[in-house]
Amino acid sequence: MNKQVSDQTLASEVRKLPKDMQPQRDLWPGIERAIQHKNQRVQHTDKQQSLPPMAWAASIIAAVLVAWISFAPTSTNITPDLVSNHSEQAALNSDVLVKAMQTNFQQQKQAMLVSYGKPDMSNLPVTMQNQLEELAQARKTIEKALKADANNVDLLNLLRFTQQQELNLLQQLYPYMNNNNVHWQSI
Amino acid sequence: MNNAKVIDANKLFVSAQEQEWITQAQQGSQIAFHQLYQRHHRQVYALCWRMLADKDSAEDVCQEVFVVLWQKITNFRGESKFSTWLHSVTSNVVLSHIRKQKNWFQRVFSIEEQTNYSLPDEAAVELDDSSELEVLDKHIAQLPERARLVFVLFAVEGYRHEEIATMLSMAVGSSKSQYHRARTLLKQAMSEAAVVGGYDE
Repeated sequence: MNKQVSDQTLASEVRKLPKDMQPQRDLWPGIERAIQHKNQRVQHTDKQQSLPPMAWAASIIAAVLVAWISFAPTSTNITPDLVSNHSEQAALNSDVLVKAMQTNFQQQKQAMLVSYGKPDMSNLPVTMQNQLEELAQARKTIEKALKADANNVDLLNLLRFTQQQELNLLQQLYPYMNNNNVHWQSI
Repeated sequence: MNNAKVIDANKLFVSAQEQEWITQAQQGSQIAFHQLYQRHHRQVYALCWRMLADKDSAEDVCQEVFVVLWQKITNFRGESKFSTWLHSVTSNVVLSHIRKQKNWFQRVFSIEEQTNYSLPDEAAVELDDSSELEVLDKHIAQLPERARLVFVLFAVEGYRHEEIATMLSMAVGSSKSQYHRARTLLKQAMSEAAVVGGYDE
C-alpha cells in the first residue's frame, strides 16, 4: 500500500532544495571568450559606422572629377583668340599659387604623419587604403587639370577641398589605427 | 548577541563588496564580472537545471545567462537585490532557449513532447546532494515541461501565477492548473518512492 505524501511534506521538501548546484565543467572560459568576441564586434561596428561619411566624401569628389573632366570645355577650346600677354601672366601667377598649395599640403600631411609616429599605412584595412588612394588620385587629377587650365577658380577650390578631405581622413584614421595595434615605424 | 552582530557585519561587507563588483563590471571590468560569476553561477546553474532538466543544456544556458548579463548589467539600477534581478534574467534566458528549441508546429499548438511521467533515469540525472533532495529534484526533472516550469517558477522561485502566465504566454488559470498537476504528480512519485526505496516522510 502506498504511503501518501501530504502537501505539507512536499512544501517542506521544496524548502529543503539546495539553492546551489555545481556544474560539472568549468563554464567561465566559454563565457570569457563570448564576452571578448562580443566586445570586438561592438568596436568593429562602431568604427564601421564612423567611416561612411568619409567614403561618401571620397565618392562625391571622384564623381565630380569624372563629370568635370568629361564635360568641361578646356580654356583653349573657348578662348583661343583671347589669350593675351595679360592672361599668360595670370596663368604664371596661378601656377605659382598651385605649387604653393601643393607644397603647403605636403608639409601639413608630413607634419601630421610625423606627429602620429609615421604609421605604416600598408597595415590599414584594404577599404581604408582604397579611400586614401581614391582621394590622392582625385587630387592628382585636379593638379593635372590645373596645368592645362591654371586660371580656373573652380578647379583651385576643388583642389583645396580635396586636400582638406585627405587631411581629415588621415586625422580620422589615426585613432582607428592606434586601437587596432597597427605597427608604427620609429622616426 | 555578539554572533548576530558579526553575521550582520559580514552580510554588510559581502553586500558592499558585491555592489563594488557590480559598479566595476558596469564600467567594463571583466575581473569584477568574474567575481560576480564566482558568487552566483551555482544558483544560476541550479535554476537552469531545474527548468531544463538536462545537464548539458543547463550548462550551455548558464553560460548564455552570463553573456547576456555582461551585456545588460548596466540596466541594473539597484532597485531590487542583484540576485533577484539575476534570477529574473536567468528565467527569461531559459524560456527564450526553450522557445528556440521548439519547432513551428510545437510553438503554434503548444504540444508537449514529454507527456508520460515516469521514474527518473539514474544515468540522465546526476546530482551531488543528499539522497532525499536528489530524489525530489529527480522527480521535478521528470515532470512534463509546462508543469515543471510552472512548479519551479512558483514553488521554488516564488513567482506569482500572474507573472508566470505572462512569462509562459498562458492564462493564469492554466498556470494554476499546471501547478496543481505538478504537485499531484510529485506527491504520487514521492509516495511510490517511499514504498520502493523506504523514503521516509
